[in-house]
Amino acid sequence: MKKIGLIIIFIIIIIISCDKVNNPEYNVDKSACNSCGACVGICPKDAIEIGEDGKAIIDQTKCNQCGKCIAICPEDAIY
Amino acid sequence: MRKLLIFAVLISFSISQVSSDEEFNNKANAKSNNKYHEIARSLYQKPFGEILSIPFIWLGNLTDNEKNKLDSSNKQKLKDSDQRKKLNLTNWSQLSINYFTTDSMHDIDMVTGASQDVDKIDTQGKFGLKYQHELTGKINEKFSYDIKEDIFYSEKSHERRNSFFTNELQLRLYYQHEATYLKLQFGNRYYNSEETYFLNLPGVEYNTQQQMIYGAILHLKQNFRKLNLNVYASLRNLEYDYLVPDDDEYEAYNASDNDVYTMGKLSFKITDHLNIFGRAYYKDDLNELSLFDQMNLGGGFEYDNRINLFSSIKAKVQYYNDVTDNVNNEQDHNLVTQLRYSRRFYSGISGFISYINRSCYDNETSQIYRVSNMLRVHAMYSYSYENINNSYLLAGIKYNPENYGTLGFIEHNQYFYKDIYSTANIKYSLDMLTSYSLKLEYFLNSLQSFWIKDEYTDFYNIQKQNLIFIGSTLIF
Repeated sequence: MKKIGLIIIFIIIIIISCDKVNNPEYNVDKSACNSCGACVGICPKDAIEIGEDGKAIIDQTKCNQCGKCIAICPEDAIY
Repeated sequence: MRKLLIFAVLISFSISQVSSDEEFNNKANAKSNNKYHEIARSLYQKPFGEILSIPFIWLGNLTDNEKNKLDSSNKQKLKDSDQRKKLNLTNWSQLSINYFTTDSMHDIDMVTGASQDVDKIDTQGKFGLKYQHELTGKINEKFSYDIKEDIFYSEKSHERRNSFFTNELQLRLYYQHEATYLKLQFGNRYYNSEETYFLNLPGVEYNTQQQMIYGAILHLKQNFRKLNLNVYASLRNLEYDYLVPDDDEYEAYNASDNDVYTMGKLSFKITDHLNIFGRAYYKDDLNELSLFDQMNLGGGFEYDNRINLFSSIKAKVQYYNDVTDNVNNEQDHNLVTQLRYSRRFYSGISGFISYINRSCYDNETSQIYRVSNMLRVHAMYSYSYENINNSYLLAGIKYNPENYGTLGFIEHNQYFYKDIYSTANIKYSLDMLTSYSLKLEYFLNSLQSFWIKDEYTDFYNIQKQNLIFIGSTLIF
């Protein structure tokens, strides 16, 4: 439990001390994604594909961070 | 004519079951919410979201009445299971009809960005249809397959879709024998391009509309004692029309865009709970300029420990280096940290805490940046009068300040009367939307249900959408 506590403290330090990146990036929490494909159907940049495990993957070279996938994801799996 | 054709296609399936987007998704995750859903889940082997990694089981002292209920439920499941084994086939179908009670009150669709003037969106209609079908089967002990069909049509701009009509088909063939797993997949998504919102494709200066996306995936997993190999390759093709201005009109030209995605991962098992791995990812846009190629190289470790019957912990730390120049320099070196702790209690309460941090390091400025942080907490209380996780109260929050994804939700599902269940949920997001839904579902038998539902969504406090659904689900 001590190790877990140290990890959590370390993470909190990262959150507080670092600046936000200039170009935001969206990713998919695969443990929450239910493979419904809603994000694929709404993306205006054709930037989301379904990977080998059936979960969504965001192509960072195409994504323009419009945030539409976040709004429609039924499992709130995009962060 | 097109509408008549669509109706004819749907009627030809001759299956009278109805559903909705939300219903489909609820079926596919651990929020599933009635006494037959467990049967449905076991029948319908789709990759469920790991909303709650530990199954909810009522661990209190069961009364004799509750034990009898549990026994009869298990007997029914065994009976269903035997029937399926004989057939080696499982079919899951849903068909939904929805009616819009709200009008489009704005010229710009706030979610899709579509303009009524430019995209010529017809907002006069009120009805929508959705049909989903999955068929899974076994050829023999080593080979199995599944087929997925998804047809969507709407007369009116739908805030969760970028087209008025789509037809998606997926075919998958699996091979599994001893330490080898192989999957071949072909997918096709067809749009009616005239009623599809504009794409904004990188490198294309004109407005574009999707016609079709199709692709193939090859996925191989192989175990060599403590070594595990995981590779996949995906080829994706997008067919689209681009519109070139010609005086006051537009001339449509056809073009296509291809991408190849590949990934290889080699992991080594150090202990029963700990793996280390190396991973390479490569994407090729198959264009001469290679403006959108990407390559990542990295590695890390994964820890997965079921501490006891009531709790488990998972952790993953991954570093990767982007070796191409098509992503910002400040995101060349990336670190992803994931933690997940699940816990359940005797009292019928269970839940999890999940945290993901993405950070990056900029070589030029020697500075660490935070890309995204996500903290998610879910808790669920299962009522004791149902035998297995049927009536419950679920609440959760997601904290994601960098990408405006902070939200909270509550969902309540309860036995209502005889074979009728009610479901209510509400979601509030600080920056995105507010939504709620109410549903009554009647189970005709263990494999078929009928339901009505009202679903309201307020996007960005500007665009409102209210839908009334009528539907049913059939599994056989």
